[in-house]
Amino acid sequence: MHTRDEVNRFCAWVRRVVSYSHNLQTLRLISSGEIPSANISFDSLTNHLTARHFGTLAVLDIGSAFIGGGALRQLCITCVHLEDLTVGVGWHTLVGNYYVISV
Amino acid sequence: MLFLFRDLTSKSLQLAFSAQGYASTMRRLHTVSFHIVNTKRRKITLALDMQKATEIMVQGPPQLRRLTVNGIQWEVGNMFAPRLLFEAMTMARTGILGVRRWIGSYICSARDCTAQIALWPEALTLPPYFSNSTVPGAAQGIEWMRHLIYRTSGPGICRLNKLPTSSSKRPIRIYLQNIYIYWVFM
Repeated sequence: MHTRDEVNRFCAWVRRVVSYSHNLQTLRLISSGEIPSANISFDSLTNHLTARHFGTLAVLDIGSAFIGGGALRQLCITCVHLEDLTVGVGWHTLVGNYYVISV
Repeated sequence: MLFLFRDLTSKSLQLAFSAQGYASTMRRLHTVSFHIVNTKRRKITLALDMQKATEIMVQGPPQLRRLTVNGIQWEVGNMFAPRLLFEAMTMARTGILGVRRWIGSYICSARDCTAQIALWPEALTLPPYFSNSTVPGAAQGIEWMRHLIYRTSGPGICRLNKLPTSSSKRPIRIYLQNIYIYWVFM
């Protein structure tokens, strides 16, 4: 997936697949390993997870799929049963000039 | 909650947990893996060394055991509680232990090495020239190691094949869940 449109369509498809799972505990996205030069946000997928599956989600492994700082923050706040977290994040999401990010 | 912050004084990058929030929301989190993307890699000088990884384990969510940043993984053995990690760090800082790690030809500092004790499954080596007379501080180190192992071992978890003594001439192996650890004393 190299374009924003492809990523959005993929996220929509995943959301559609998992939306009817009322007890979703594990979600892993397994990619072919190709790393595009610019990572496109998967925020729509994580937003769906925090809205619908926050009470059951324990393992979220989306590999190096990129999510933004706000989505990561929301994920960590709402998914209280999270045990295993694997995500791709931007450098500035994690590193700031100040102690900017806290939950 | 785990985040990175920039240490402006040393210009190095450290991992830190926020003091508030994680305890109430992420009590079950035991594995965290971050892939840092959307950045120029040559600009990244991630200084996540053993000491900082140990601090993360100590200060982070209570169940955190594995931390991976860009493929570099740090793991705490099941037998080591964060409190003991903290003790190890404290002892390293106060200089009680004269321990250093030796893996291949690489020798790191005593401070790093002591933190390494608590990080599984890295290896430490006790050289054959070990003795209390030739290695200052060896006896204290041995006592500390014995104390640590006895306190943290549970049935079937940790097995000490041979108690180290000051007259030992051979490397001592301590088996921790089939992973043996060598110790080296300066």
